[in-house]
Amino acid sequence: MQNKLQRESPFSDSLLENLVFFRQEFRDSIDFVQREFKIGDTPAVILSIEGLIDKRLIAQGILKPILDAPILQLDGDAKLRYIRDHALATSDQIQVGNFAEAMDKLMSGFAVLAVDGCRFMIAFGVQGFSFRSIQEPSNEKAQRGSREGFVEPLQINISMVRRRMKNPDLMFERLILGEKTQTAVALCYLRGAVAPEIVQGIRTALRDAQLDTVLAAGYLIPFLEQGGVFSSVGISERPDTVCGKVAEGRVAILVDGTPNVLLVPYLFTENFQSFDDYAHRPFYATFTRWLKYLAFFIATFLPGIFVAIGTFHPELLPEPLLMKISEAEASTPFPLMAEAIVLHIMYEIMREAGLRVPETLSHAVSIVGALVIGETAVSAGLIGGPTLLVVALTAISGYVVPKLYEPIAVIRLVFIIAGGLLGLWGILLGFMGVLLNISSESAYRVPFTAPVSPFGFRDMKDVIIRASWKILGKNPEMVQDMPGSHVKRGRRS
Amino acid sequence: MNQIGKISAGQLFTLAFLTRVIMMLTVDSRVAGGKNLQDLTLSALCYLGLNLVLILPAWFLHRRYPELDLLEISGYAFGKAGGLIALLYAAYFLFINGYFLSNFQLFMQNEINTQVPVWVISVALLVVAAYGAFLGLESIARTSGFVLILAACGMIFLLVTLNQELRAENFTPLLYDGPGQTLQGTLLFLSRSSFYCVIPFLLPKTQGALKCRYLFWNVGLCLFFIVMIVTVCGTLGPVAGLQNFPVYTMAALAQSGPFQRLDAIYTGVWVMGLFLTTALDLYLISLCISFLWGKIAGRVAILAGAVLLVVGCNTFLASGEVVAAVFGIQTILPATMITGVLLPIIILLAVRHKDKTTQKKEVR
Repeated sequence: MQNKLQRESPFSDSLLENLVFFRQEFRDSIDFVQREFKIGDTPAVILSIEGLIDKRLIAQGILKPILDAPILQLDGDAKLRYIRDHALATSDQIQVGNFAEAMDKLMSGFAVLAVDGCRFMIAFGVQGFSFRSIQEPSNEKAQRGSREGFVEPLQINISMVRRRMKNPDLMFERLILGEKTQTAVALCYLRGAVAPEIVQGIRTALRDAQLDTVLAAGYLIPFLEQGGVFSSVGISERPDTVCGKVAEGRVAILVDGTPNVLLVPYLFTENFQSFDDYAHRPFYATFTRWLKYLAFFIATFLPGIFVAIGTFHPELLPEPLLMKISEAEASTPFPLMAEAIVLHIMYEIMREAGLRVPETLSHAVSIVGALVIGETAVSAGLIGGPTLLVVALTAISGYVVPKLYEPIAVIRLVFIIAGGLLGLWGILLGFMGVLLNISSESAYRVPFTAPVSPFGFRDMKDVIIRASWKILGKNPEMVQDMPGSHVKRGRRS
Repeated sequence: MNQIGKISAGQLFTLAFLTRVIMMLTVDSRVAGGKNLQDLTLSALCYLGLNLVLILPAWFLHRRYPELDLLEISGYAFGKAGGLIALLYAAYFLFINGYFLSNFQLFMQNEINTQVPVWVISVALLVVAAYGAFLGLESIARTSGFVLILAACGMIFLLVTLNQELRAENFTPLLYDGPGQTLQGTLLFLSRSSFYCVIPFLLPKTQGALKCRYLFWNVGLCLFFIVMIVTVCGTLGPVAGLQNFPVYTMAALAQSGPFQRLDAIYTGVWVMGLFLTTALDLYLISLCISFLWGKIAGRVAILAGAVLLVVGCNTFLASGEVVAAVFGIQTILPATMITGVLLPIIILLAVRHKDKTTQKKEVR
């Protein structure tokens, strides 16, 4: 508490006292650098954090101009004012008045100039840390779109959005979250397009978030959603997708240190939309949209329905198909439900292993999975061929809608159990339960299930079909105009 | 912009349509008369006309107090005695749901050779329905939107598949055996119209073009009934009158491509409709109880209602004879008419009288 109060206090006019405070705060940390020098007879120091700054920029852009300048003023305060107004050519310089501000700037890659006898300091933007170069996002590839994906530094991500949306109404709001990490978070929205209640709601939710550390965007998701089976917070790694969503009245949340940007509010139907849909021709985009719906149903329900029909309702199948399945299953020792559960869990284990093992070993994992476990289990008579086929088809279908992979993986297991215990009744009632769950969700007062239920005919142009840009361009779909929405669009200030 | 906690008129009548669809799907030849089921088309038309009239008490109440539901109005009219009306409605919703659920259980026991015990299915259905009631009206209404799409697709597929089974010789002239069947059918439809009791609770929670949607819903429902009856009679002919659940028998005849039987669609639509009806009724029971004893009691009432339904339907309502005796038209029709029509009329007269008395006092 005392430390906090001290941080908020203004600087002393003694440079030595100020330096003692910084040294105490950083406790001789090896990356804390102080370059002491004199301006005339007045002691001065440049503070910085090693690794966050560009040393050449400090030498050429700050130290050299100061040392070369004809500074005739006698007291420190006047000297620093002269330096600020006449000597330095750096564009990014901010005057700081207390220790807290100075520490924040230091840890954001600024260099801080302090002069003895002066009660303020100047921070210079000389960031020069290394980071991953801009690459195509591996989780969100597009055939016909930009190859740029977000990277880790917040400022670069902000610039990527700004470059695509040259609009003065595009706003970035800065928040600091995480008691220990002090992570910078930016809210990005388009004034006039977004509903003010949505921005206020997100702001409040984030400010109220009690977190010690914020190391990834995912840390913030629970504070922004209601907590249903499907999330009402979207994630994207693509600046073009984020710009599209922001233009539709959504708020993007950029978190420093992570390439994943959160999108709020995010509706259920958006999980089936991808950037390529809008780059391809409408008839093909509509076709792929329907493929995604089909893949979602296969990935979620097929194993459950297979188990339910095989166990309780074989009369629903035509005789030749039924004979084939029963022939394959007759030789296996386990019931259909157990087989499906075991295969499903085995697949998830292999998937997790595939994600974590070094790339060089991933082929070995695939071979073990496909040949050893799959082929051998069937030939040994432990698992029926049809069950393996169903689980394999299900697994592939799950990747057609990657945004829904997590809920699908869990719901699928629930449906296998429901189908195995209650037959199609279980599937149907489980389905009703899931429908109820997603129907009860609202994303910042916009129904999560809009525009399907509550139904909006006009909005079907991007749900049932993907209409041509001639139609989509005329009436852009604003999230707050969705049927059943309890918010309205804000006005441009 | 919509008001929080309110549903749209479209959602209200979607919900109403789906909960009424089970009236048609569960038409029982024994209850409906069974001589000439084709006359039920005339019953559907009569039902359409009566619907337009019998809804009027609830409508007038809503017009007078658009923001208040029936319980709040009765509380205003009768003071503490209004609590009795809340109890009466809670009992009615429990009773009518017991009827729908026991009918479903009898169907499962007698028509479907299911390996899963029927009570287990009932318990599962009530768990999901209670979950819906806990989530509230908006969630149930939004779910009904999805169910409508599924039910419509399923029924259209079924009817298109059955189209080739229709035989002209299966049709008989209307009113061939006199008006008895039509009358019986109309009474059956009316007796199952718990919608009259539901609507005074839901109108204040609804926004949008009510009159237009109500008309649309009524005509849609009537058309659905007529199409189903014509398909049943055209497919099954005189055999329809001998079936306990003729619509199910018709669905069992249908087959398409790899699917040998399409009765799963029929039972699926029935279960979805029953689930919505049960969720809505449990929600309304909780409204009635929370009017009397507060919100927590209302929540407990959902669970208690679900338990009562399961226990009741699996003990003394487990046999067909008992169900026929308890849930005959002679009991359901008066119950529905009293709670759906008579009570709203009495409440309407009472509030008019109270308003007039208050006005006179103010003038003096």
